[in-house]
Amino acid sequence: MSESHTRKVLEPFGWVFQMITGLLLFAFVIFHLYITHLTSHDALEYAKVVERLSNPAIKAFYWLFLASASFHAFNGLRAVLLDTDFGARNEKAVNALTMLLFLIAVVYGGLLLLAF
Amino acid sequence: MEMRRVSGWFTLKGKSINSIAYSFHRLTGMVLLLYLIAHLSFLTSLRIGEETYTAFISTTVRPETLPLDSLLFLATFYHAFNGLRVVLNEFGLLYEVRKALIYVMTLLALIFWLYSTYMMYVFVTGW
Repeated sequence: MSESHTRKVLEPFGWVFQMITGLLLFAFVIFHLYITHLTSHDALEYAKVVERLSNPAIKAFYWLFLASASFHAFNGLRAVLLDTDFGARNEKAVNALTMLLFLIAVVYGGLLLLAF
Repeated sequence: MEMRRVSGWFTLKGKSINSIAYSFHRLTGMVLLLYLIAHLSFLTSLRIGEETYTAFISTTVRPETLPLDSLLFLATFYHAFNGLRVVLNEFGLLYEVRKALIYVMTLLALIFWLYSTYMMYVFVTGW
């Protein structure tokens, strides 16, 4: 199998957004690693994390990061599950379950961001 | 659940380099999905309070966990660079050198992996 198979399984909305979120995540992950590990040795201390998350621009970035990562991860899981015989037989249930998990992750992480 | 098709990811014999890249992409994707769930759960400690968060950090960010961080970086950068290759191919970019691009992207992933592991080593040892 190759990615052409995944394209077929996710076509059209899922595949296009998988590529868009994938490209966004490429930059987001590097920026996240930069601000949490490369800016200073105490970047992971509680006070520093709270200070970062209190910044509206950083908060907006993390919300976008959370939404992109959650969509990409659970849409990817959807493609994997649809590849099994079980998934092929229960396509609607797989679609509903993975999108529900995506929404739970976004709401759960979003509430965490709102706490600061 | 019949996992016949999924078990095919682990079969390397007779596979093209493109199929092997596809299998690794899926495997690293599953690792990263599990990490995302763990990471979001871990961050709950921020809401509980400073003491709990600091206890979590002191448990997970230390030299002993460096090998796990390194494996995570390997999965991350392989998935990122191979995914970038898939997007480039999708738009017909560098399509005439698509086979060579697999090796180039894998090499870039290895370079980023080594650099990030070194930087994490510096971070956890406090150099």
